[in-house]
Amino acid sequence: MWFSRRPVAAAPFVVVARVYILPARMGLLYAVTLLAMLLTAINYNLSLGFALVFLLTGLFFVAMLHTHRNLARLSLRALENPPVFAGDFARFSLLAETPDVPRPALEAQSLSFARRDIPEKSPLPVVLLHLEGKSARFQMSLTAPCRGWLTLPPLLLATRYPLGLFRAWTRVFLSARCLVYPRPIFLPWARASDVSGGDSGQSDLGEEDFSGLRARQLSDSPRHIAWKAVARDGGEGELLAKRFSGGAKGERWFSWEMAAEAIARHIAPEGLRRDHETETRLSVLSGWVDAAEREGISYGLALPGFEAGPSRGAEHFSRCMSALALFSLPEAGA
Amino acid sequence: MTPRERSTRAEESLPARLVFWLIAVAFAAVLPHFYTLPLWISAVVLATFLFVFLRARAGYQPLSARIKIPLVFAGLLGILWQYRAPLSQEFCVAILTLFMSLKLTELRARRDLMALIALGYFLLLTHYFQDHGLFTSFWMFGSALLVTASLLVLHDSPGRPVQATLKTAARLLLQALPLMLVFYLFFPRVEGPLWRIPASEASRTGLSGKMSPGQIARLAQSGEIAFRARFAGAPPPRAQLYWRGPVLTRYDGQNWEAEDFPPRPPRVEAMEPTVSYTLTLEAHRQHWLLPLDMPIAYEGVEAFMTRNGLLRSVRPVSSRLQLRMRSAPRYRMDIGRLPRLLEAANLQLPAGYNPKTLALARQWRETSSDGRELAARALAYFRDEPFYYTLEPPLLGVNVIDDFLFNTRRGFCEHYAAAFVTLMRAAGVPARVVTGYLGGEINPVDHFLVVRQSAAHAWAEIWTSETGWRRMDPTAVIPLDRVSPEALAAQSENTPERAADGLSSPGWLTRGRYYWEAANNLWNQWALGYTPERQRALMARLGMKNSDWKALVRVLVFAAFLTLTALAAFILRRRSKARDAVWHIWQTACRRLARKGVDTPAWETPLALAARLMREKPPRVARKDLLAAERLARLVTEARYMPDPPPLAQIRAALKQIGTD
Repeated sequence: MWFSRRPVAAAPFVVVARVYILPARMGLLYAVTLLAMLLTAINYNLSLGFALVFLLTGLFFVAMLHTHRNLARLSLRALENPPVFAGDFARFSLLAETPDVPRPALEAQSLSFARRDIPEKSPLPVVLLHLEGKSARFQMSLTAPCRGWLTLPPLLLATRYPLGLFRAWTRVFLSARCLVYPRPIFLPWARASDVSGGDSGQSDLGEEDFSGLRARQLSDSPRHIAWKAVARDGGEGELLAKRFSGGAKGERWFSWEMAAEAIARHIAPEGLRRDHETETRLSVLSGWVDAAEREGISYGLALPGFEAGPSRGAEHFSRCMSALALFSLPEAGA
Repeated sequence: MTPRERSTRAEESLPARLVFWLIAVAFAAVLPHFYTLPLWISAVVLATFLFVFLRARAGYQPLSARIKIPLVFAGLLGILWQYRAPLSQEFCVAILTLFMSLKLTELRARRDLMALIALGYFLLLTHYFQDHGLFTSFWMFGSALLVTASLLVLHDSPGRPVQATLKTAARLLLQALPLMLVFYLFFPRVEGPLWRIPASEASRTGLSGKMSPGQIARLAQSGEIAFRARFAGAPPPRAQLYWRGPVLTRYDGQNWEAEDFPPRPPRVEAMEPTVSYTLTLEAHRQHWLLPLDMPIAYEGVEAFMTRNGLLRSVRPVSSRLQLRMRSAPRYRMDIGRLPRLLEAANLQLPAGYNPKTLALARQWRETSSDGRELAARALAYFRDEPFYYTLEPPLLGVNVIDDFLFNTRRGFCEHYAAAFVTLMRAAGVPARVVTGYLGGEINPVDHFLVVRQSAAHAWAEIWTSETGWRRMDPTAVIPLDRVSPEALAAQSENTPERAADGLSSPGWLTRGRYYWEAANNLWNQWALGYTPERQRALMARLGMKNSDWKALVRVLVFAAFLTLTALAAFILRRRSKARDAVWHIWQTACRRLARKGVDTPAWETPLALAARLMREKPPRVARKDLLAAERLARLVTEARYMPDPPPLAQIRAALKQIGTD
């Protein structure tokens, strides 16, 4: 849409100022009905028929004002949005606030797809929101295509409340961004005993770290779900997650070079193209960091120009992941 | 507040409880038509409603096309068979009603709901084909509320209770009232019809322009109102309240019929005093107006007077009509000479009928040729011979008049008028039957003269060169002791004198009826009084003489713009009620604390005040109150600053915890 391309400074907090309004399809049908009623009233000299037609004409305009009011002075605020892995849905939490009366039936829609493989023509998903108190949270979900910062596209906020005769809309430019971690690739890593020094024990890399299945917990990434097992029992049993054991209680270092070796061994012995090489290494490291954090072992990460750990915990995890996500990207991002 | 989210496409989903709303809408829109619709259509429609209702309770599913399409065609064929004239009002109403009910069985998408709701709005208008009364208007407004509410349900948040939805719909309609008034006053009124209205098939109670034995007697049973009149001064005495309707000249031995005469008025010489009045005719779908005998001026309708003294409207009176009139109860018409055309028409008698009557008339004629003497003789005949006046006259043979005059001698006004005119014509005196209404009752509440169908009457007019046309009412000469009790009751109801003290009569039912009819009449006068003429008068009062539709449109646009601006200012005004409610609670709490000796300066935030209280522990504040105040301070702050504020009820409850002393 033309206006989505118009450069407007985005802010983390926006008050709806400019509301566009046009009759909706129901409004046109309503107008045609009124016209038919008016002609009938004229033809049969129905005095009170005129009264009814004019009452409904008045209602038409009153509905227009109410539809406008349902958007006017609404404010939107971008809240936190937890980082996601590339390929997952980035969930932008937003807060809609009304300064006065409740605002039912708001429809929010992001004005573009983040993913390029969805054609522009297919309808964008709509979030229906009924703002009944002073404020309400809602989420815009977007597919995160690649690592780095994902910015929230402009939003289209529309409503047909109260009677559906008019559709009012406004576009909202909220500055919000979501950190997207590299899409993890799970390759086996070396056993604990072999890694204390940092140079890898080549002989053990072939060994599978997969150590069995357990019931899936909500915190498990979809990537860890044993989809093959699910397929075997026809999707009726509960979901199972893969367990990885990689020499449980030691410290691990994950480095740029280790990733290169793992790729050479498991994915492409003859090497990858340069740009693919970087991204794949980041993905491998992302998978290792994720698995290590999940397994609860201490790990360190060494990238060109970055080193952290060994340590563990959410803070360390997000530090390492941010480094992977933003590796060699301009920091400005958003 | 937890947001209710739905990521499905809002366009296609159909809230289930909407079906119940729509059944209610369809029912309200259709119900008043059951009174006039053929029984089978009403039955089909009701059965459909019941079917959809039961289906909706079990989980609504649209009907498959294989069942639906034959149903629609069967209904269409049935209606076509019922109404031979397609596109008449009744036909259209029947079709719309049927579609409305069948549409309920096939609700799939939002589109269907829109169509149903549009149909519902249109059906509301068709109620006015039948009736303009107060009750219909209440019903219309209630139904409009229901239709609007269902539109609201379609677009509102799903959890709203029914009352809240109705309240919102009512508020919307109330806010629409100012605009309605502007449009009602200034929208250029066009006199219909825009297209030819197919003749209506519904038989209305009332005069028919034709008279056969027993026809008016049937009307005598009907309490339906034919028209109302309001006199500028005192109403004339009953003996002069002859409301002139169709003039019947052609007689074929069975029926008396009206003939078309040239649209030239007769020569009328009005005598003082004249009477001014307004007439509010109920729709009778015929062309005649019912002025007081003899009209000399009228406005409010396009009409003309025919040569035989019938005031004829150009368009049929298809809706309630208000006219201003002046009549001369005493007048002389066509003195001196009668045009040949008229003379022939008024002497016509069917050949071969009523030989005994003709013989009697010839016999009278031998003694006198003076019209007035002959008329007096005929009246004396009715008075002196044992003629009875009854609502249930016996059946008459082929020679209707002979049978009545010499055999049964029991009849209603039409028998007397017909016999009298036949006698006069046979004796060579031009005579005709005039049908109309006699009398009327004054509603003591609003002093309108109400004329019901039961006041339908037929009388005669004879012509002599000296006096012109003269009204003769042969029914009036029958002595009271020969009037049957029912007929007497029906007659006496139509006297203004009797009704004048109706309010003091003990019958509360009668009193209630007077009040209801007066309210209805007030509504009619108010709603119907606004004609194109009144619109012009209003414009003249606004300083625009001779305003055409362009001027009206200009005024309309201007007034509508002003009203819309005012409405916008009202609807879009900044409201801070929600915030104020919380602040008000905190202020109340502060006042309570102040009464307990706590200093509550305006600059101190709730949390700061609470912290200070906990530190200082004022002696007069109980520990319980202290804790309650702290809790309230926290809630008030959260309500102000948190993304998910606590509900107002919780804050109110917290306020209650602080003792009031």
